[in-house]
Amino acid sequence: MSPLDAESGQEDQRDIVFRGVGVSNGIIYGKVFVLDRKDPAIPREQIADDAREQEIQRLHEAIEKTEADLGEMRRKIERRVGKDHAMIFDAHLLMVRDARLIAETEQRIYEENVNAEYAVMETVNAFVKVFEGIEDTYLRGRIADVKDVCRRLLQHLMGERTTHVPREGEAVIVVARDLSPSDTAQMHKEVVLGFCTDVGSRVSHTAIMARALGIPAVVGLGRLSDSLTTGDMILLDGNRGTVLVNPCEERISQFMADARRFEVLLKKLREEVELPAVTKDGHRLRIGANIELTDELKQIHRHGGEGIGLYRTEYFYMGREDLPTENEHYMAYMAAAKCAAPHPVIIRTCDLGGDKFASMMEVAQEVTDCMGWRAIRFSLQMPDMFKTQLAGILRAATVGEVKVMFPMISGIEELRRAKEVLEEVKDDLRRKGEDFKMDIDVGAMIEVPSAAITADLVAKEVDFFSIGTNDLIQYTLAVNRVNEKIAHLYDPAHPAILRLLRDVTKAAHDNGIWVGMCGEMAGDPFFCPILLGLGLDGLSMAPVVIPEIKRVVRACHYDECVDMVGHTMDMLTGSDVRKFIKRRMGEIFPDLQ
Amino acid sequence: MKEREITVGYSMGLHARPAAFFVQNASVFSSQIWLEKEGQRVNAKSILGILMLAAEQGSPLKLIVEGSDEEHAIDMLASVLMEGRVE
Repeated sequence: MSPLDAESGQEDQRDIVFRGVGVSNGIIYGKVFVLDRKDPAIPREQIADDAREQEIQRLHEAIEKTEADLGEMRRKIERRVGKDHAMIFDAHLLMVRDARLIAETEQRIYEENVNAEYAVMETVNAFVKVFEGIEDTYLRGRIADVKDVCRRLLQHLMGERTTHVPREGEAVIVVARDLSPSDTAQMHKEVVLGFCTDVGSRVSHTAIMARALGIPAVVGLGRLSDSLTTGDMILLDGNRGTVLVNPCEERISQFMADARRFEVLLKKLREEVELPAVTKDGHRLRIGANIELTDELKQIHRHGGEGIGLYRTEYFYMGREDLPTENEHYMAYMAAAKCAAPHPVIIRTCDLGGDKFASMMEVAQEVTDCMGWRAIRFSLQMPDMFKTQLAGILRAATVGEVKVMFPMISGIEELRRAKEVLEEVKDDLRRKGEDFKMDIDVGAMIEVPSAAITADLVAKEVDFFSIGTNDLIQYTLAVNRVNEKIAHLYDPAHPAILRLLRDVTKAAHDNGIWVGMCGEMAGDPFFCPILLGLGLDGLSMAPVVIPEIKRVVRACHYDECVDMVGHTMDMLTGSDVRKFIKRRMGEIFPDLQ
Repeated sequence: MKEREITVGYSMGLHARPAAFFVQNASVFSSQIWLEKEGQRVNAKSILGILMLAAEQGSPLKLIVEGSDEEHAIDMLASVLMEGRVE
C-alpha cells in the first residue's frame, strides 16, 4: 500500500475501518471465521439410577480424549515455539485429570442424577466462583485455563457442537476476542490466512504465533469480534494494523494493486538496502531497527538497518514465571551488540506493567492500564529485577556500542532515581570485578507529555532522547486508540504533536544531545519528510519498512523538508497538514501518485 | 501421619507452573497428601485445590502426609516447596 493512500483519511463510507496494532506483516483479503467462545447451552437432563454408571463412563472417556488432545497440542507447540510456551499444557493436563474435579463431578452425577455435561459445568462453575474470590490477579487469570479445559471436556461429551476453526476447506481469517495457545495449536496453516483479535500486543501469544507461521495478524482491534460474523469479508493489513470490513470491489482491487505494487517496490528496495539514508543535499539520518526477539536480529541487515534504535525487552519476561537472570540479559544484548556493530544498540529497560507481569498467558490489560503502574514506575519499585537487567546491559556494553534507555520518564525525579540505581549496579559490578562499560550512554524515552514539555530540562541530564510517538500522541490528545468511537482523533499530524516534536528536537540540539524517534510515526513514509525537516537525527522502525523509508529520505532535499515544517507550524488542523504533506509527497514521488 | 510447617519458596508464589510441578511430584506417592493454609485444607494431588490456596512466597503452610510412604514423601515434598524447585 502506498503512503499516499494510507494517509489520505478518505475511506469510502461503506467501508468500516478498524485500527489495531499490526504484529505480523502481510496484506490479505478473505472470509472471516469468528471463533465464538461463548459457552454452549448445556441441557440439564434427569437420569435414572441405573444410567448413572454409564454417565460416569462417558465422563472418563471424555477425560481420556481431552488428555490425548492436550498431549498432542503440547507436542505441536513445543515444536513450533518452544518448551516455555508448551508448559501451560502441563497445567491443563493436570486440571483435566484433577482428582477433586473428577470426584466432585462424579458425586453430582450420583447424588443429583444429572447428565455428565451438566455435572461438569456445575462443578467447573463452582471452581470458577472460588477463583473469582481470590485477590491475586494472576490466579484470577487461571479462570481462563479452567474454562478452557472445561470447554474441551464438554466438546467431547457433546460431540462437536461447540465451534472450532475448521480443519479443512476454504481458508479463512480467524477473528476472536483473544486466542489461547490451544486455539492456535488446533489450527491448520493451510486453512488460516491470518489472525485478528480484540485484545493483545506485540508480545501476546497470537502475535508470536502469527510471526512463527508467517501469516499476517493485527491485534488490539477493540470490539472487532462482536462487529463481525462468520462469512463477512475483510481486508487485513498486518503492515499497518488495519482491518477493512466488507470493502467495495473498487477498494479491494485498489488495495490488492497496492499490495502488489508494494511487493514490487520491496523487491526493488531490497536491491538498494545497503545505500545510506542521505538526502539529495547530503543530510544524513540514522535508520535503526525496532527489535524484540533474538531471532529478529538477522532481519536488520537484510533490510539495511543501521543498528537497533529500540530493543524492546518485555519478551524476556513473558511466557515464564521465573525472572530472567543477569546472564540471560547479558547474552541476548551481547548478541544484539555484535549483530548491530559498528552501529549502536539502544536497549529500553522493561516496559511491562505490574499486573501483567506475572502472567503465563497474556492478560492483555495494557491498554486500559497504559497510564498506570508500568515501565520505569514499575522497575523502580522492583529494584532487584531492574538491577539484574541493568547489570546485563552494562556488561554487554563492553562488546559494542550499547546504550540504555528508560521508558515512560515523566520528569527529572524519576530519571535521577533510575540513574542512581544504574550507579549502584556499577558499584556492585565493580566490587565483583566484572567487566562493564563505565560511561554507558543513558537516554530517556520521550513519550509522556510532561517530559516533552520540559525536554529542555531533561536534556541536561541524559545523553540522548528517543521519542515514542505512540504513547506521546495518545497522552497528548487524550485518545485511547482502541476505542473505535474516538480512534479517528488519534492523529500524528495534529498541530499539538508537530509543535511538541519541534520543541523536543530543539531542546535536544540546544543541549548538544542526539534525538531520534522510535514510534510508529517513524516508520510511516508519509511523515518522513516532516521528520527530516524537524531535524531528528535518527529514526527506528520495524525492519520491514526500513528500505521504504530510506528510499523516501534519498528522494528528499533536506532544505525543502525544513521549509515544509515551517509551513505546517502555522496550520490550524491535522487535516490541513495532511493535505499539504500529500501534495508535496506527490511532487517528490510522482510515480506513486 | 506426618505433619510439617513450611513456607513457600517460590518467588511468584504457588502459581501454575510450580503448582503443576508439585502435583506431579505428589502424585508419585501412594500416601494421601494435603496442604493447609490458614485452616483451609486441600488435596495436594489436585492442581485446582493448590491454586485455590493462592499461596504467595513466604506463606506459612502445613504439609500433611498419611500412608505407607509418608516418611519419604514429606521430606521430598517439603524440600520442593521450601526450595521453590520447578524441575
